[in-house]
Amino acid sequence: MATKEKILLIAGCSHSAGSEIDGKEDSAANRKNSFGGLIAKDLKRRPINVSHVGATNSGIARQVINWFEKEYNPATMNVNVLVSWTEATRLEVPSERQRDYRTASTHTDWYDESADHYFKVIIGWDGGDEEELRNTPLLHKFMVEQQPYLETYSYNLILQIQYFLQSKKVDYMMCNTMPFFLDNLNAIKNIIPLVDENKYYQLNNKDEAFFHKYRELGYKNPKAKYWHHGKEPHQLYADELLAFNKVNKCLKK
Amino acid sequence: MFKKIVKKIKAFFRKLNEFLKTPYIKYKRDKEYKKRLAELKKRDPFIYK
Repeated sequence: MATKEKILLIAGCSHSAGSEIDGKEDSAANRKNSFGGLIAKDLKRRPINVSHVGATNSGIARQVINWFEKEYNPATMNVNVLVSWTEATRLEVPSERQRDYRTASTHTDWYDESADHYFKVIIGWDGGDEEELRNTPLLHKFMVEQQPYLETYSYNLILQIQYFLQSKKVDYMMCNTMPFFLDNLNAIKNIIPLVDENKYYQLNNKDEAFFHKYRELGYKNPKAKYWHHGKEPHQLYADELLAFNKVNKCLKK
Repeated sequence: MFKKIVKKIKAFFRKLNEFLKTPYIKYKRDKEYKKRLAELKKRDPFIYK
């Protein structure tokens, strides 16, 4: 019997793609030096980094589900998954036309084409084309006023992926590159106990999310135009995740 | 009859009061929205075109 190839599937947004480590929005070196890439190296697994620049949490959930649907072969692959959740207020809205977000994620190891059926709404961007310009002001208002709804939705996505991976008997680890904030809401308090905290690094701890933690610690990447972290925070965060993994054995060598 | 007139006058002044306050309430809501929007932009500063 042939040995199965050991793979680490890495899903997330620009932070887990290693955006701007070398100053470029996306590059092979960025993905190699991202915290996920470093973890894959430590575990001696081939990284398949499917993180999209600008990804939303619903997009991240689809990256995982669609990769398994289209690429996974349990007969030849031994897959572990690292899922890094992003800012909960980011939205993806079904679009009237076909889009192409591949241009922003030029070095992804696999491209989830389902992203092209949506347009993204990020709080710092007022939109470019007619459809975005028409819809974004109203959606920004929704994002500002309905944060509880959006965070609850993200927790439901976490459960979706948790149960999806459990159903496939695939080992995984989750973490936050961007924090969630509303853990005092009863709706969220009811969901959190359902999340497996032994497979979720710093569940419910907003001070420990990758981007904000290292920004607060004073790390600045002089090569970055859009504030993404450099090599050192990625290495330090990979070390944190590997220490968590040592205790909880989420991902396997 | 007298009670009815007083009731109507009170209702009129209540509506007038609400009407006069509308711009202020709108201004307050708008200010709060802009403050919150700025907070979120600071929290998620990334721009993807």
